[in-house]
Amino acid sequence: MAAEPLTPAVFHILLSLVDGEKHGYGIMQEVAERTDNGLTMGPGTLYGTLKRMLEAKLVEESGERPDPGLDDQRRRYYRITRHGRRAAHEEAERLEALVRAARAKALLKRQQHALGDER
Amino acid sequence: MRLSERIYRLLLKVYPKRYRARYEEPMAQLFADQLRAADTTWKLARLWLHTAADMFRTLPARHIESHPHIVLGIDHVGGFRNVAWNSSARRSVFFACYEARSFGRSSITVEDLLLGILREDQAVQELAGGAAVVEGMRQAIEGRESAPRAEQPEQRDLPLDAACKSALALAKEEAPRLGAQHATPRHLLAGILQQEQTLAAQLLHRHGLTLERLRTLP
Repeated sequence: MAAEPLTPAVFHILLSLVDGEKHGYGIMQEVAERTDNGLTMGPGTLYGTLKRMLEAKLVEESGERPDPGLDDQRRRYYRITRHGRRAAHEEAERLEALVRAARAKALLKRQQHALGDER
Repeated sequence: MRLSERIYRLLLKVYPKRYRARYEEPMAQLFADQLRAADTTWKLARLWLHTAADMFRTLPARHIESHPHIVLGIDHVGGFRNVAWNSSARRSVFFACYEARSFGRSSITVEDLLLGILREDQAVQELAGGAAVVEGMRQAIEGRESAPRAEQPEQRDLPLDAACKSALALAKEEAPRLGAQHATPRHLLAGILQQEQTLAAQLLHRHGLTLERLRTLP
């Protein structure tokens, strides 16, 4: 049976960690940038989601150290696990298949026309 | 340390102790990082608005998780184990536990469950007849208690009493009967209505909320 789809917050966090470990603020900044501030995760949402992801072994803590780009406070870093990478890969494939289906029905094309008409 | 950061650190105290032990410092640090980026009054106001919404959204879930006894308890009530509770039903039981504690009870009753549902679910409040009727129900339940409510009830998990367990089990049966995948506060209400001898069921009946009416609602 196919795995359950990931929530947008979980997928965005995994995607942020695919290319290297990050601390909470680093994850939050990357997600905000990627979604053009469409998905802003506050401390409660970010650490609540990370807590569930740690329990599901999708991510793991990789120690504490200061971020040279910020201040000299020590920060807790997170990295993606093998299981997390597989889950992110499956989710990306699921979304790709959905987009393919939308293209096959000319949904994206139609939308572009509609946007063009509005201009 | 800026005033906003001090206020946020104080607000974090409302999260459960176990959760704070691990996440209080990183959360405060993240807020301080956001604060540094909020260099205008408008950005600061927006940050506080987002932060308040963030706390409002996440606080009930963290408290529910910190009471595994209740959450696991309600998962194992009744034979319909494949029917899951939705988050609103879980919050209703969490609030019911709070009600029971404030009355100084040793277990959660169906009256506590009714108060928990009314606290959680706006749609159920409307079904029951609106804010005035809900207040009347609350007063009727409080009026039966011999002692006044405790202002700061002790933080501990409580078991469900027999009628409340039965109401939860019937709610789980009600969900698939009505074609729902998850048991919701409305199904909990159906479970309460079947505990006919209880004050909670009688109060609902008195205000025209019967099982038949509940089952025919869209």
